[in-house]
Amino acid sequence: MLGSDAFLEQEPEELEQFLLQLARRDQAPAEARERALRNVAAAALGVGVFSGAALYGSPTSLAKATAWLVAKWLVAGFGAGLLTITVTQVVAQRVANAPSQAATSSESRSAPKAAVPAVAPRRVSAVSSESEAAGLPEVEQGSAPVASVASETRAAGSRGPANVAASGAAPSTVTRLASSAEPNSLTRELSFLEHARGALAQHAALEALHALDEYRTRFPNGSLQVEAAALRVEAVGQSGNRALAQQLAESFLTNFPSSPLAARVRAAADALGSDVHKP
Amino acid sequence: MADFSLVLGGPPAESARAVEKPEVQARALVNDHFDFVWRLLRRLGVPEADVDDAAQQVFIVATRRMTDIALGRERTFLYGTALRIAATLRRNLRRRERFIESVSAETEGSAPTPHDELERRRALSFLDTVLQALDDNERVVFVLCEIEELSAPEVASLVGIPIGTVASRLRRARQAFVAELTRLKAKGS
Repeated sequence: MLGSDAFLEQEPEELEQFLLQLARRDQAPAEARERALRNVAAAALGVGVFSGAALYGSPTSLAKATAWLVAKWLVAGFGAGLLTITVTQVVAQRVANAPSQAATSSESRSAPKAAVPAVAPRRVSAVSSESEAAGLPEVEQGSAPVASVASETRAAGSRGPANVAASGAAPSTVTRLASSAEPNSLTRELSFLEHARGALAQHAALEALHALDEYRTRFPNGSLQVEAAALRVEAVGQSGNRALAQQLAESFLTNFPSSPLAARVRAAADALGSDVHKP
Repeated sequence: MADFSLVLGGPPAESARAVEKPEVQARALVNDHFDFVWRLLRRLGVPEADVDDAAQQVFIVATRRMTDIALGRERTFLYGTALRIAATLRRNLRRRERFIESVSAETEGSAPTPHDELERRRALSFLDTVLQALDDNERVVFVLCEIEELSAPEVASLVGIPIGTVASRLRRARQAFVAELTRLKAKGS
């Protein structure tokens, strides 16, 4: 196999320098870096995080772990769960799509690899007190500001989740990652959603909505639009605009029926007394 | 609407406020050192398919222990963690034949790459084969000196050995490297 390689025809000294130069310029794939950014953000927040130790985990055990995490997330607070789910999605997508090292291509690869280095949860039980404390945001009645209604009507339109769905029925995290312009953009995106999440935990629905509006304005093609859409349902519900929250929930569940966040959105809609999309 | 944007803060105010936050520190760690850790793991013998997960693990460990890491010693900490993880992975690798099989299956199944990229990856894989012949301790010094291009005092401090030992390990590593390179090259062509 080695015999066919042209680089081997160099003299040993040249070959040595060639190889060392190549190694010096070797860079981590952007996808891995973005994943690390997500992981450390989640770890710093004390969310149950996948550390990459379980190299021998099977897709089956991973699926179980994912399901467990989703269940855990339903019980725990929304925000920490959002991060967990984001990480979970990345992992699940890695197993499902088995992206090659050259994951910059946005085409989905469906051939599953038997032994993709799966990542299993190590500190699943370590969902932070923060997330436990966040709890289910309660619906506040009669506090819906007019401005919020106006902006949310817009949200229910073309710029809402439907927009995401238009670019692909099942947006994969991998492809969404690949579409990010620069490595740091995800960090910035995440900061807006974290802000919204924090506001929601403090029942500052209006602030959460404006963080989400800002997110949408700044990242019209953002990587975390599905997560933002789910947060928006919560935020609108919390602001007291039940009708719009139900409308948004319905839109979300239509567009992302299989999203791990769908269960949460459905629960939020149910809490609003909605009769949208029972599974 | 103006007060809403005040509430939100916007990126500059946000980042200024967030300087102290652990997740911001953790992200800075990733941004500053991810390539270093990645290359280190790769050149210390972690299979290509596992480098991503191993690198994630290094940074998660670092994030959890952020308060233990002295300012300016981030690289030392990351280096130590990466070294341990690489060693564990190599040990597991030797134990698990099925894993070796999966790695070769992966290489065969990888997506078609443009010629240059293919050549680059083959060359790097050749380099890793050569590095495998080195003694573990010598290999670390070789990688830090020759690939990361750190100075002898830097390597001494990172590895925790005297400068004289850095020099002697590097000398032996270079000899072994050239010998193995020449041997494999002759075998290959």
